[in-house]
Amino acid sequence: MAITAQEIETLLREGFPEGQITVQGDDGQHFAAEVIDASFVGRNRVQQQRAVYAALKGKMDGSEGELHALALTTKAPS
Amino acid sequence: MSDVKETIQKTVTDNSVVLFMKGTKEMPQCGFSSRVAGVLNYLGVEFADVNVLADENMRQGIKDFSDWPTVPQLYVKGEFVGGCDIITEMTLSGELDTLFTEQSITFDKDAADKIREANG
Repeated sequence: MAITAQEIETLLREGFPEGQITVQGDDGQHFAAEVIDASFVGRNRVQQQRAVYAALKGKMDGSEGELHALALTTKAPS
Repeated sequence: MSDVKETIQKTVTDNSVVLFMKGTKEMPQCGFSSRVAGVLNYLGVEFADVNVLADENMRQGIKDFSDWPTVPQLYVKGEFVGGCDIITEMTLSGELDTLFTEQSITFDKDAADKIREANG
């Protein structure tokens, strides 16, 4: 089942209501997301990206995960 | 399932640098795995590659082990460093050089500088 950039953005906004979120990609398979969120302050990249994956609620998971190719950039607000 | 966990633990303990990837370092089967293997190869880093596509238990096992839903995954001295995006960022920022230096991993610093020049 394919996923759209809009769906990814919706999930990320639910997970990071105050965050700055950008999702790009419209071929249904390859996406790039950037999340800038205050909760990332003091957390390393692995912890930041784990939080983003958690917000995506298993969409990245498993061989039948809908989302295979998501390039992820996470930052704390500067 | 615990067997897989033990196998992974042993692999990351016995090898200083391990890349869990789709395909092998000679023949990656996914663009993200290819990118990370490519960086390590280019830097001349000696690393063990584990092809998760060869073993369904490993494919799921490494995700559970690292609490990380995607492959590739890089381990240095038993510690999970990150996936493709993190390794790319660390390569460009020089943090990967620092990590390798701190962990006494041999790599080609000139090659790392060349990657940064080409992507500067």
